[in-house]
Amino acid sequence: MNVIAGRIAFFFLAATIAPAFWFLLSSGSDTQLQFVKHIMLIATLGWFASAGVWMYGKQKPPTAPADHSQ
Amino acid sequence: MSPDAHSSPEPPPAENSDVSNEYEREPVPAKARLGFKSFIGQYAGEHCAGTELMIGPLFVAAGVGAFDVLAGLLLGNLLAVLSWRFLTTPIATSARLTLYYHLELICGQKLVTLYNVANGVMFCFLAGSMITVSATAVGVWFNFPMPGLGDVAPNSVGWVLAVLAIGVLISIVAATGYNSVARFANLAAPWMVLVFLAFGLIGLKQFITASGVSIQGAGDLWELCNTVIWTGGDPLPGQVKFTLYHVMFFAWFCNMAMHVGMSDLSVFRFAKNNRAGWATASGMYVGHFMAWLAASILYALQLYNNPENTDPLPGPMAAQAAGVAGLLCVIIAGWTTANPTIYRAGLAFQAIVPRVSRFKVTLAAGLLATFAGLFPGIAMQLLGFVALYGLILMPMGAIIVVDWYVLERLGLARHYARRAGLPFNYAAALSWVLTLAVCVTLVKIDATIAGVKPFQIYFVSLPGWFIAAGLYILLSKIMQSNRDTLPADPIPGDPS
Repeated sequence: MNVIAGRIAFFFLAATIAPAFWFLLSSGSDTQLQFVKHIMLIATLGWFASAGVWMYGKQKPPTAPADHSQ
Repeated sequence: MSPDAHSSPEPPPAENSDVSNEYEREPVPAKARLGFKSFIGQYAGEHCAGTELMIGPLFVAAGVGAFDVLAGLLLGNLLAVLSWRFLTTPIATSARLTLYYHLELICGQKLVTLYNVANGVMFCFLAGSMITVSATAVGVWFNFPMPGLGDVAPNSVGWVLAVLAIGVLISIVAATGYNSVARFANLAAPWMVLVFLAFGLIGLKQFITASGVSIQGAGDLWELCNTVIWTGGDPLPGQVKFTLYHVMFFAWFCNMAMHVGMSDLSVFRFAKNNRAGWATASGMYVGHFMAWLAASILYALQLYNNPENTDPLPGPMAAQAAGVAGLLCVIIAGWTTANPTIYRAGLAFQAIVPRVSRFKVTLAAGLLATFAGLFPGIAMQLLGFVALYGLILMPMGAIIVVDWYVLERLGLARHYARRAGLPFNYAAALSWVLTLAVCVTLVKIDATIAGVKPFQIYFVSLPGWFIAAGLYILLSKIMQSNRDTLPADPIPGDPS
Protein backbone atom coordinates (compact mmCIF):
# COMPACT_ATOMS: atom_id res chain seq x y z
CA MET A 1 0.00 0.00 0.00
CA ASN A 2 2.71 2.43 1.02
CA VAL A 3 4.86 1.58 -1.98
CA ILE A 4 1.97 2.24 -4.35
CA ALA A 5 1.06 5.48 -2.55
CA GLY A 6 4.71 6.55 -2.75
CA ARG A 7 4.86 5.96 -6.50
CA ILE A 8 1.59 7.81 -7.05
CA ALA A 9 2.89 10.68 -4.89
CA PHE A 10 6.04 11.02 -6.97
CA PHE A 11 3.93 10.97 -10.13
CA PHE A 12 1.90 13.91 -8.81
CA LEU A 13 5.04 15.71 -7.67
CA ALA A 14 6.43 15.43 -11.19
CA ALA A 15 3.06 16.56 -12.55
CA THR A 16 3.36 19.75 -10.47
CA ILE A 17 6.44 20.97 -12.29
CA ALA A 18 6.07 19.29 -15.71
CA PRO A 19 3.38 21.74 -16.97
CA ALA A 20 5.68 24.69 -16.21
CA PHE A 21 8.43 23.19 -18.39
CA TRP A 22 5.88 22.44 -21.10
CA PHE A 23 4.65 26.06 -20.91
CA LEU A 24 8.21 27.32 -21.26
CA LEU A 25 8.53 25.41 -24.55
CA SER A 26 5.02 26.24 -25.78
CA SER A 27 3.83 29.38 -27.56
CA GLY A 28 2.86 30.83 -24.17
CA SER A 29 -0.77 31.66 -24.93
CA ASP A 30 -3.37 32.45 -22.27
CA THR A 31 -5.21 29.22 -23.04
CA GLN A 32 -2.05 27.24 -22.45
CA LEU A 33 -1.47 29.09 -19.18
CA GLN A 34 -4.99 28.27 -17.99
CA PHE A 35 -4.34 24.61 -18.85
CA VAL A 36 -1.09 24.72 -16.85
CA LYS A 37 -2.89 26.19 -13.84
CA HIS A 38 -5.54 23.43 -13.91
CA ILE A 39 -2.94 20.67 -14.16
CA MET A 40 -0.90 22.20 -11.32
CA LEU A 41 -3.97 22.31 -9.08
CA ILE A 42 -4.89 18.69 -9.84
CA ALA A 43 -1.27 17.63 -9.24
CA THR A 44 -1.22 19.59 -5.97
CA LEU A 45 -4.32 17.88 -4.65
CA GLY A 46 -3.01 14.52 -5.85
CA TRP A 47 0.35 15.10 -4.13
CA PHE A 48 -1.13 15.96 -0.76
CA ALA A 49 -3.58 13.05 -0.85
CA SER A 50 -1.12 10.37 -1.97
CA ALA A 51 1.92 11.69 -0.11
CA GLY A 52 -0.21 11.96 3.02
CA VAL A 53 -1.08 8.28 2.80
CA TRP A 54 2.52 7.41 1.98
CA MET A 55 4.23 9.47 4.68
CA TYR A 56 1.83 8.64 7.48
CA GLY A 57 2.10 4.98 6.64
CA LYS A 58 5.83 4.61 6.89
CA GLN A 59 8.38 4.96 9.63
CA LYS A 60 10.49 7.96 8.74
CA PRO A 61 14.16 8.29 9.60
CA PRO A 62 14.85 10.83 12.36
CA THR A 63 15.60 14.40 11.40
CA ALA A 64 18.14 16.57 13.22
CA PRO A 65 16.84 16.73 16.77
CA ALA A 66 15.92 19.82 18.59
CA ASP A 67 17.07 22.33 21.14
CA HIS A 68 14.89 22.73 24.17
CA SER A 69 17.48 24.23 26.38
CA GLN A 70 15.21 26.99 27.50
CA MET B 1 15.09 32.73 5.76
CA SER B 2 15.62 34.88 4.45
CA PRO B 3 15.71 34.40 8.09
CA ASP B 4 12.98 31.96 7.24
CA ALA B 5 11.76 29.75 9.97
CA HIS B 6 15.14 28.38 10.56
CA SER B 7 16.72 29.19 13.84
CA SER B 8 17.21 27.96 17.30
CA PRO B 9 15.61 27.08 19.53
CA GLU B 10 14.45 24.25 17.33
CA PRO B 11 10.89 23.09 17.76
CA PRO B 12 10.39 19.40 18.39
CA PRO B 13 10.66 17.31 15.26
CA ALA B 14 7.42 15.83 14.00
CA GLU B 15 8.67 12.36 14.59
CA ASN B 16 11.04 11.10 17.16
CA SER B 17 10.05 13.82 19.57
CA ASP B 18 11.39 11.80 22.47
CA VAL B 19 14.85 12.91 21.35
CA SER B 20 13.99 16.57 21.65
CA ASN B 21 14.40 16.95 25.37
CA GLU B 22 17.80 15.30 25.57
CA TYR B 23 21.29 16.71 25.93
CA GLU B 24 20.16 20.22 26.77
CA ARG B 25 22.82 20.68 29.42
CA GLU B 26 25.43 18.17 28.33
CA PRO B 27 27.43 17.43 25.17
CA VAL B 28 25.61 15.27 22.61
CA PRO B 29 26.99 11.73 22.87
CA ALA B 30 28.27 9.75 19.87
CA LYS B 31 25.18 7.50 19.72
CA ALA B 32 22.88 10.47 19.00
CA ARG B 33 24.90 11.96 16.17
CA LEU B 34 23.50 12.34 12.67
CA GLY B 35 25.02 12.11 9.21
CA PHE B 36 25.30 14.65 6.42
CA LYS B 37 22.02 13.67 4.74
CA SER B 38 19.95 14.49 7.82
CA PHE B 39 20.85 18.14 7.43
CA ILE B 40 20.32 18.48 3.66
CA GLY B 41 16.54 18.04 3.74
CA GLN B 42 16.18 20.10 6.89
CA TYR B 43 17.94 23.13 5.41
CA ALA B 44 16.39 22.83 1.93
CA GLY B 45 12.87 22.74 3.41
CA GLU B 46 13.29 25.43 6.02
CA HIS B 47 14.79 27.99 3.67
CA CYS B 48 11.92 27.83 1.19
CA ALA B 49 9.59 30.00 3.25
CA GLY B 50 6.82 32.51 2.74
CA THR B 51 9.20 35.42 3.14
CA GLU B 52 11.14 34.36 0.00
CA LEU B 53 8.10 35.62 -1.92
CA MET B 54 8.68 39.11 -0.49
CA ILE B 55 12.47 39.26 -0.69
CA GLY B 56 12.76 38.50 -4.43
CA PRO B 57 10.32 41.29 -5.42
CA LEU B 58 12.00 43.75 -3.06
CA PHE B 59 15.29 43.20 -4.93
CA VAL B 60 13.52 44.36 -8.11
CA ALA B 61 11.96 47.30 -6.24
CA ALA B 62 15.50 48.20 -5.14
CA GLY B 63 16.51 48.59 -8.80
CA VAL B 64 18.92 45.68 -8.96
CA GLY B 65 20.62 44.75 -12.26
CA ALA B 66 20.85 41.22 -13.73
CA PHE B 67 24.57 40.72 -13.13
CA ASP B 68 24.33 42.21 -9.65
CA VAL B 69 21.50 39.94 -8.53
CA LEU B 70 22.91 36.74 -10.03
CA ALA B 71 26.55 37.25 -9.01
CA GLY B 72 25.55 38.77 -5.66
CA LEU B 73 23.37 35.80 -4.76
CA LEU B 74 25.97 33.26 -5.89
CA LEU B 75 28.72 34.91 -3.84
CA GLY B 76 26.61 35.88 -0.84
CA ASN B 77 25.13 32.41 -0.46
CA LEU B 78 28.63 30.93 -0.79
CA LEU B 79 29.83 33.19 2.03
CA ALA B 80 26.85 32.10 4.13
CA VAL B 81 27.66 28.42 3.56
CA LEU B 82 31.34 29.05 4.39
CA SER B 83 30.29 30.84 7.59
CA TRP B 84 28.25 27.84 8.68
CA ARG B 85 31.00 25.41 7.69
CA PHE B 86 34.01 27.20 9.17
CA LEU B 87 32.55 29.25 12.05
CA THR B 88 29.49 27.45 13.40
CA THR B 89 30.09 23.77 12.71
CA PRO B 90 33.63 23.44 14.17
CA ILE B 91 32.51 24.89 17.52
CA ALA B 92 29.27 22.90 17.44
CA THR B 93 31.01 19.58 16.82
CA SER B 94 33.70 20.28 19.42
CA ALA B 95 31.56 21.60 22.28
CA ARG B 96 28.33 19.78 21.26
CA LEU B 97 26.25 22.15 23.38
CA THR B 98 23.07 24.09 22.65
CA LEU B 99 23.52 27.78 21.96
CA TYR B 100 21.74 28.61 25.18
CA TYR B 101 23.83 26.39 27.40
CA HIS B 102 26.99 27.60 25.66
CA LEU B 103 25.95 31.23 26.21
CA GLU B 104 25.06 30.46 29.82
CA LEU B 105 28.61 29.23 30.44
CA ILE B 106 30.01 32.46 29.03
CA CYS B 107 27.41 35.09 29.88
CA GLY B 108 25.47 33.80 32.88
CA GLN B 109 21.81 32.86 33.10
CA LYS B 110 20.41 36.38 33.47
CA LEU B 111 22.13 37.70 30.37
CA VAL B 112 20.91 34.67 28.42
CA THR B 113 17.38 35.61 29.51
CA LEU B 114 17.89 39.06 27.99
CA TYR B 115 19.13 37.40 24.82
CA ASN B 116 15.95 35.30 24.80
CA VAL B 117 13.78 38.41 24.97
CA ALA B 118 15.58 39.96 21.99
CA ASN B 119 15.35 36.67 20.09
CA GLY B 120 11.65 36.17 20.94
CA VAL B 121 10.65 39.68 19.85
CA MET B 122 12.50 39.31 16.55
CA PHE B 123 10.82 35.93 15.98
CA CYS B 124 7.41 37.56 16.51
CA PHE B 125 8.07 40.28 13.94
CA LEU B 126 9.37 37.67 11.50
CA ALA B 127 6.30 35.49 12.00
CA GLY B 128 4.20 38.63 11.54
CA SER B 129 5.66 39.20 8.08
CA MET B 130 4.88 35.56 7.21
CA ILE B 131 1.26 36.11 8.27
CA THR B 132 1.25 39.24 6.07
CA VAL B 133 2.41 37.13 3.12
CA SER B 134 -0.36 34.56 3.67
CA ALA B 135 -2.99 37.30 3.98
CA THR B 136 -2.16 38.59 0.49
CA ALA B 137 -3.40 35.26 -0.90
CA VAL B 138 -6.66 35.56 1.02
CA GLY B 139 -7.06 39.02 -0.52
CA VAL B 140 -7.16 37.51 -4.01
CA TRP B 141 -10.18 35.37 -3.06
CA PHE B 142 -12.09 38.06 -1.13
CA ASN B 143 -10.94 40.99 -3.25
CA PHE B 144 -10.44 43.55 -0.49
CA PRO B 145 -7.98 46.45 -0.84
CA MET B 146 -4.46 45.31 0.01
CA PRO B 147 -1.48 47.38 1.19
CA GLY B 148 0.99 48.87 -1.25
CA LEU B 149 4.77 49.13 -1.28
CA GLY B 150 4.83 52.34 0.76
CA ASP B 151 2.12 51.40 3.28
CA VAL B 152 3.07 51.01 6.92
CA ALA B 153 -0.36 50.69 8.55
CA PRO B 154 -3.32 48.48 7.53
CA ASN B 155 -5.45 50.11 4.84
CA SER B 156 -8.75 48.22 4.88
CA VAL B 157 -11.08 46.35 7.20
CA GLY B 158 -10.82 43.31 4.96
CA TRP B 159 -7.03 43.28 5.40
CA VAL B 160 -7.32 43.50 9.19
CA LEU B 161 -9.87 40.67 9.29
CA ALA B 162 -7.76 38.46 7.00
CA VAL B 163 -4.60 38.95 9.08
CA LEU B 164 -6.50 38.39 12.33
CA ALA B 165 -8.15 35.22 11.02
CA ILE B 166 -4.87 33.74 9.76
CA GLY B 167 -2.82 34.92 12.73
CA VAL B 168 -5.21 33.66 15.40
CA LEU B 169 -5.55 30.32 13.60
CA ILE B 170 -1.77 29.92 13.31
CA SER B 171 -1.31 30.94 16.96
CA ILE B 172 -3.84 28.40 18.24
CA VAL B 173 -2.31 25.66 16.09
CA ALA B 174 1.22 26.57 17.23
CA ALA B 175 0.11 26.46 20.85
CA THR B 176 -1.86 23.21 20.63
CA GLY B 177 -0.96 21.05 17.69
CA TYR B 178 2.58 21.86 16.74
CA ASN B 179 3.52 18.35 15.65
CA SER B 180 0.67 17.92 13.18
CA VAL B 181 1.66 21.13 11.38
CA ALA B 182 5.30 20.04 11.40
CA ARG B 183 4.24 16.79 9.69
CA PHE B 184 2.22 18.77 7.17
CA ALA B 185 5.24 21.04 6.59
CA ASN B 186 7.37 17.97 5.80
CA LEU B 187 4.72 16.91 3.32
CA ALA B 188 4.50 20.33 1.70
CA ALA B 189 8.25 21.05 1.45
CA PRO B 190 9.11 19.24 -1.82
CA TRP B 191 5.90 20.45 -3.45
CA MET B 192 6.59 24.05 -2.41
CA VAL B 193 10.10 23.96 -3.89
CA LEU B 194 8.66 22.83 -7.22
CA VAL B 195 5.89 25.46 -7.19
CA PHE B 196 8.54 28.14 -6.56
CA LEU B 197 10.45 26.77 -9.57
CA ALA B 198 7.22 26.81 -11.60
CA PHE B 199 6.73 30.49 -10.70
CA GLY B 200 10.10 31.25 -12.25
CA LEU B 201 9.61 29.17 -15.40
CA ILE B 202 6.10 30.47 -16.09
CA GLY B 203 7.13 34.05 -15.34
CA LEU B 204 10.12 33.72 -17.68
CA LYS B 205 7.94 32.45 -20.53
CA GLN B 206 5.44 35.25 -19.94
CA PHE B 207 8.31 37.73 -20.14
CA ILE B 208 9.47 36.20 -23.44
CA THR B 209 5.93 36.41 -24.82
CA ALA B 210 5.23 39.93 -23.55
CA SER B 211 8.53 41.39 -24.73
CA GLY B 212 8.50 39.60 -28.08
CA VAL B 213 12.16 38.65 -27.63
CA SER B 214 13.26 35.59 -29.57
CA ILE B 215 15.41 33.24 -27.49
CA GLN B 216 17.84 31.29 -29.68
CA GLY B 217 20.54 30.71 -27.12
CA ALA B 218 22.14 31.70 -23.83
CA GLY B 219 23.13 35.11 -25.21
CA ASP B 220 19.51 35.98 -25.98
CA LEU B 221 18.41 34.82 -22.54
CA TRP B 222 21.07 36.98 -20.89
CA GLU B 223 19.95 39.93 -23.00
CA LEU B 224 16.36 39.38 -21.81
CA CYS B 225 17.47 39.22 -18.16
CA ASN B 226 19.66 42.30 -18.51
CA THR B 227 17.35 44.58 -20.48
CA VAL B 228 13.85 43.44 -19.54
CA ILE B 229 13.75 41.55 -16.21
CA TRP B 230 16.45 42.97 -13.89
CA THR B 231 17.06 46.26 -15.63
CA GLY B 232 18.84 48.10 -12.83
CA GLY B 233 18.23 51.83 -12.72
CA ASP B 234 16.65 53.82 -9.93
CA PRO B 235 14.86 52.05 -7.08
CA LEU B 236 11.16 52.54 -6.49
CA PRO B 237 10.23 55.36 -4.06
CA GLY B 238 11.09 54.53 -0.46
CA GLN B 239 13.54 51.75 -1.39
CA VAL B 240 17.35 51.75 -1.12
CA LYS B 241 19.28 51.24 -4.38
CA PHE B 242 20.79 47.73 -4.42
CA THR B 243 24.15 47.02 -6.06
CA LEU B 244 26.10 43.76 -6.29
CA TYR B 245 27.51 44.43 -2.82
CA HIS B 246 24.06 44.97 -1.31
CA VAL B 247 22.79 41.69 -2.75
CA MET B 248 25.93 39.82 -1.72
CA PHE B 249 25.93 41.12 1.84
CA PHE B 250 22.18 40.63 2.17
CA ALA B 251 22.42 36.99 1.04
CA TRP B 252 25.36 36.45 3.41
CA PHE B 253 23.87 38.17 6.44
CA CYS B 254 20.16 37.40 6.14
CA ASN B 255 20.78 34.27 8.22
CA MET B 256 23.51 35.95 10.24
CA ALA B 257 21.85 35.09 13.54
CA MET B 258 22.14 31.42 12.63
CA HIS B 259 25.73 31.14 11.33
CA VAL B 260 27.86 34.06 12.53
CA GLY B 261 25.43 34.59 15.41
CA MET B 262 25.85 30.88 16.33
CA SER B 263 22.16 29.97 16.78
CA ASP B 264 22.81 26.84 14.75
CA LEU B 265 25.20 25.47 17.35
CA SER B 266 22.01 23.84 18.62
CA VAL B 267 21.49 22.11 15.26
CA PHE B 268 25.07 21.09 14.38
CA ARG B 269 25.88 19.74 17.85
CA PHE B 270 24.25 16.58 16.46
CA ALA B 271 26.50 16.44 13.37
CA LYS B 272 28.91 13.52 13.12
CA ASN B 273 31.59 15.78 11.69
CA ASN B 274 32.21 19.24 10.27
CA ARG B 275 31.22 18.13 6.76
CA ALA B 276 27.60 18.65 7.82
CA GLY B 277 28.15 22.38 7.49
CA TRP B 278 28.18 22.02 3.71
CA ALA B 279 24.56 20.78 3.87
CA THR B 280 23.44 24.37 4.36
CA ALA B 281 24.15 24.89 0.64
CA SER B 282 20.88 23.06 -0.08
CA GLY B 283 18.92 25.75 1.74
CA MET B 284 20.90 28.62 0.29
CA TYR B 285 20.82 27.64 -3.36
CA VAL B 286 17.23 26.31 -3.37
CA GLY B 287 15.58 28.91 -1.14
CA HIS B 288 17.87 31.90 -1.33
CA PHE B 289 18.84 31.61 -4.98
CA MET B 290 16.18 29.82 -7.02
CA ALA B 291 13.16 30.94 -4.95
CA TRP B 292 14.30 34.57 -4.66
CA LEU B 293 14.98 34.76 -8.41
CA ALA B 294 11.63 33.13 -9.24
CA ALA B 295 9.72 35.54 -6.99
CA SER B 296 11.62 38.50 -8.40
CA ILE B 297 10.71 37.44 -11.96
CA LEU B 298 7.01 37.49 -11.03
CA TYR B 299 7.28 41.02 -9.63
CA ALA B 300 9.36 42.27 -12.57
CA LEU B 301 6.69 40.87 -14.90
CA GLN B 302 3.99 42.72 -12.98
CA LEU B 303 5.95 45.97 -13.33
CA TYR B 304 6.59 45.28 -17.02
CA ASN B 305 2.89 44.77 -17.71
CA ASN B 306 1.78 47.71 -15.55
CA PRO B 307 4.50 50.06 -14.25
CA GLU B 308 1.90 51.74 -12.02
CA ASN B 309 1.30 48.52 -10.07
CA THR B 310 4.29 48.55 -7.70
CA ASP B 311 2.65 46.51 -4.92
CA PRO B 312 4.84 43.46 -4.14
CA LEU B 313 1.95 41.23 -3.09
CA PRO B 314 2.81 37.52 -3.27
CA GLY B 315 -0.85 36.41 -3.47
CA PRO B 316 -1.82 38.19 -6.69
CA MET B 317 1.56 37.44 -8.31
CA ALA B 318 1.32 33.73 -7.49
CA ALA B 319 -2.29 33.56 -8.70
CA GLN B 320 -1.35 35.20 -11.97
CA ALA B 321 1.41 32.64 -12.60
CA ALA B 322 0.05 29.40 -11.17
CA GLY B 323 -3.61 29.96 -10.30
CA VAL B 324 -5.09 28.28 -7.24
CA ALA B 325 -1.99 26.07 -6.78
CA GLY B 326 0.07 29.27 -6.52
CA LEU B 327 -2.30 30.76 -3.95
CA LEU B 328 -2.18 27.56 -1.92
CA CYS B 329 1.62 27.74 -2.06
CA VAL B 330 1.60 31.29 -0.67
CA ILE B 331 -0.74 30.38 2.19
CA ILE B 332 1.04 27.14 3.04
CA ALA B 333 4.53 28.70 2.77
CA GLY B 334 3.49 31.44 5.19
CA TRP B 335 1.63 29.12 7.53
CA THR B 336 4.15 26.28 7.79
CA THR B 337 7.01 28.69 8.48
CA ALA B 338 5.14 31.09 10.79
CA ASN B 339 4.08 28.12 12.90
CA PRO B 340 7.55 27.03 14.10
CA THR B 341 8.65 30.66 14.36
CA ILE B 342 5.81 31.41 16.79
CA TYR B 343 6.58 28.21 18.65
CA ARG B 344 10.23 29.29 18.97
CA ALA B 345 9.20 32.74 20.15
CA GLY B 346 7.04 31.05 22.79
CA LEU B 347 10.00 28.96 23.93
CA ALA B 348 12.18 32.06 24.16
CA PHE B 349 9.61 33.96 26.21
CA GLN B 350 8.96 30.98 28.46
CA ALA B 351 12.51 31.28 29.73
CA ILE B 352 11.42 34.60 31.26
CA VAL B 353 8.17 33.33 32.76
CA PRO B 354 8.83 29.62 33.37
CA ARG B 355 5.77 29.19 35.58
CA VAL B 356 3.32 30.14 32.84
CA SER B 357 2.29 27.21 30.64
CA ARG B 358 3.84 26.84 27.21
CA PHE B 359 0.34 26.98 25.69
CA LYS B 360 -0.35 30.45 27.09
CA VAL B 361 3.09 31.82 26.27
CA THR B 362 2.98 30.49 22.69
CA LEU B 363 -0.53 31.86 22.22
CA ALA B 364 0.62 35.27 23.49
CA ALA B 365 3.63 35.18 21.15
CA GLY B 366 1.31 34.29 18.28
CA LEU B 367 -1.01 37.17 19.05
CA LEU B 368 1.97 39.54 19.19
CA ALA B 369 3.05 38.20 15.78
CA THR B 370 -0.49 38.67 14.47
CA PHE B 371 -0.48 42.27 15.67
CA ALA B 372 2.85 42.80 13.90
CA GLY B 373 1.39 41.17 10.77
CA LEU B 374 -1.34 43.80 10.64
CA PHE B 375 1.33 46.35 9.76
CA PRO B 376 2.53 45.68 6.21
CA GLY B 377 5.42 48.09 6.77
CA ILE B 378 7.45 45.21 8.26
CA ALA B 379 7.01 42.99 5.20
CA MET B 380 7.44 45.90 2.77
CA GLN B 381 10.73 46.82 4.46
CA LEU B 382 11.74 43.20 4.97
CA LEU B 383 15.25 43.67 3.55
CA GLY B 384 16.10 46.21 6.23
CA PHE B 385 14.34 44.26 8.98
CA VAL B 386 16.24 41.06 8.17
CA ALA B 387 19.55 42.95 8.25
CA LEU B 388 18.59 44.45 11.63
CA TYR B 389 17.63 41.00 12.96
CA GLY B 390 21.10 39.65 12.13
CA LEU B 391 22.81 42.71 13.57
CA ILE B 392 21.05 42.47 16.94
CA LEU B 393 22.00 38.83 17.54
CA MET B 394 25.44 38.88 15.86
CA PRO B 395 27.55 40.19 18.81
CA MET B 396 26.80 37.07 20.86
CA GLY B 397 28.24 34.97 18.04
CA ALA B 398 31.43 37.03 18.07
CA ILE B 399 31.66 36.56 21.85
CA ILE B 400 31.33 32.78 21.50
CA VAL B 401 34.06 32.64 18.82
CA VAL B 402 36.43 34.79 20.88
CA ASP B 403 35.70 32.81 24.01
CA TRP B 404 36.33 29.52 22.21
CA TYR B 405 39.42 30.35 20.16
CA VAL B 406 41.13 33.41 21.60
CA LEU B 407 40.75 33.99 25.35
CA GLU B 408 42.93 31.13 26.61
CA ARG B 409 45.67 32.09 24.17
CA LEU B 410 45.71 35.52 25.80
CA GLY B 411 45.85 34.05 29.29
CA LEU B 412 42.16 34.75 29.96
CA ALA B 413 39.45 32.34 31.11
CA ARG B 414 36.93 30.63 28.85
CA HIS B 415 33.36 30.07 30.08
CA TYR B 416 33.93 32.81 32.61
CA ALA B 417 30.39 33.16 34.01
CA ARG B 418 30.18 29.48 34.95
CA ARG B 419 33.66 29.32 36.43
CA ALA B 420 33.32 32.58 38.37
CA GLY B 421 29.74 31.78 39.42
CA LEU B 422 28.35 34.92 37.75
CA PRO B 423 24.67 35.19 36.77
CA PHE B 424 25.49 38.17 34.55
CA ASN B 425 28.80 38.63 32.74
CA TYR B 426 29.19 42.40 32.35
CA ALA B 427 32.03 42.01 29.84
CA ALA B 428 29.68 40.13 27.48
CA ALA B 429 26.71 42.42 28.15
CA LEU B 430 28.72 45.58 27.56
CA SER B 431 30.28 44.11 24.41
CA TRP B 432 26.78 43.37 23.08
CA VAL B 433 25.26 46.75 23.94
CA LEU B 434 28.27 48.86 22.93
CA THR B 435 28.60 47.03 19.61
CA LEU B 436 24.94 47.69 18.82
CA ALA B 437 25.32 51.33 19.89
CA VAL B 438 28.36 51.82 17.63
CA CYS B 439 26.69 50.06 14.69
CA VAL B 440 23.43 52.00 15.02
CA THR B 441 25.42 55.24 15.24
CA LEU B 442 27.37 54.32 12.11
CA VAL B 443 24.11 53.56 10.28
CA LYS B 444 22.58 56.84 11.43
CA ILE B 445 25.64 58.88 10.39
CA ASP B 446 25.53 57.10 6.99
CA ALA B 447 28.98 58.37 6.05
CA THR B 448 30.12 58.37 2.43
CA ILE B 449 33.72 57.29 1.87
CA ALA B 450 35.17 57.57 -1.65
CA GLY B 451 31.67 57.66 -3.09
CA VAL B 452 30.36 54.58 -1.29
CA LYS B 453 28.28 54.22 1.87
CA PRO B 454 30.01 51.42 3.79
CA PHE B 455 27.93 51.69 6.95
CA GLN B 456 24.42 51.01 5.64
CA ILE B 457 22.42 48.51 7.69
CA TYR B 458 23.25 45.81 5.11
CA PHE B 459 27.02 46.12 5.64
CA VAL B 460 27.53 47.34 9.18
CA SER B 461 27.43 43.86 10.75
CA LEU B 462 30.82 43.05 9.24
CA PRO B 463 32.78 45.75 11.12
CA GLY B 464 30.33 45.16 13.98
CA TRP B 465 31.57 41.58 14.41
CA PHE B 466 35.16 42.76 14.84
CA ILE B 467 34.05 45.52 17.21
CA ALA B 468 32.21 42.97 19.37
CA ALA B 469 35.19 40.60 19.34
CA GLY B 470 37.66 43.37 20.26
CA LEU B 471 35.43 44.74 22.99
CA TYR B 472 34.94 41.33 24.58
CA ILE B 473 38.69 40.71 24.70
CA LEU B 474 39.34 44.17 26.14
CA LEU B 475 36.56 44.04 28.72
CA SER B 476 37.45 40.47 29.73
CA LYS B 477 41.02 41.60 30.35
CA ILE B 478 39.71 44.37 32.62
CA MET B 479 37.05 42.32 34.41
CA GLN B 480 38.77 38.93 34.81
CA SER B 481 40.89 40.05 37.75
CA ASN B 482 40.29 36.75 39.57
CA ARG B 483 41.14 34.50 36.62
CA ASP B 484 44.04 32.76 38.37
CA THR B 485 41.79 31.48 41.15
CA LEU B 486 39.01 30.09 38.96
CA PRO B 487 38.07 26.39 38.98
CA ALA B 488 38.76 24.22 35.92
CA ASP B 489 36.78 24.69 32.72
CA PRO B 490 33.60 22.52 32.93
CA ILE B 491 33.60 21.89 29.16
CA PRO B 492 37.22 21.59 28.03
CA GLY B 493 36.41 21.00 24.34
CA ASP B 494 38.98 21.18 21.61
CA PRO B 495 39.54 24.69 20.29
CA SER B 496 42.33 23.58 17.97
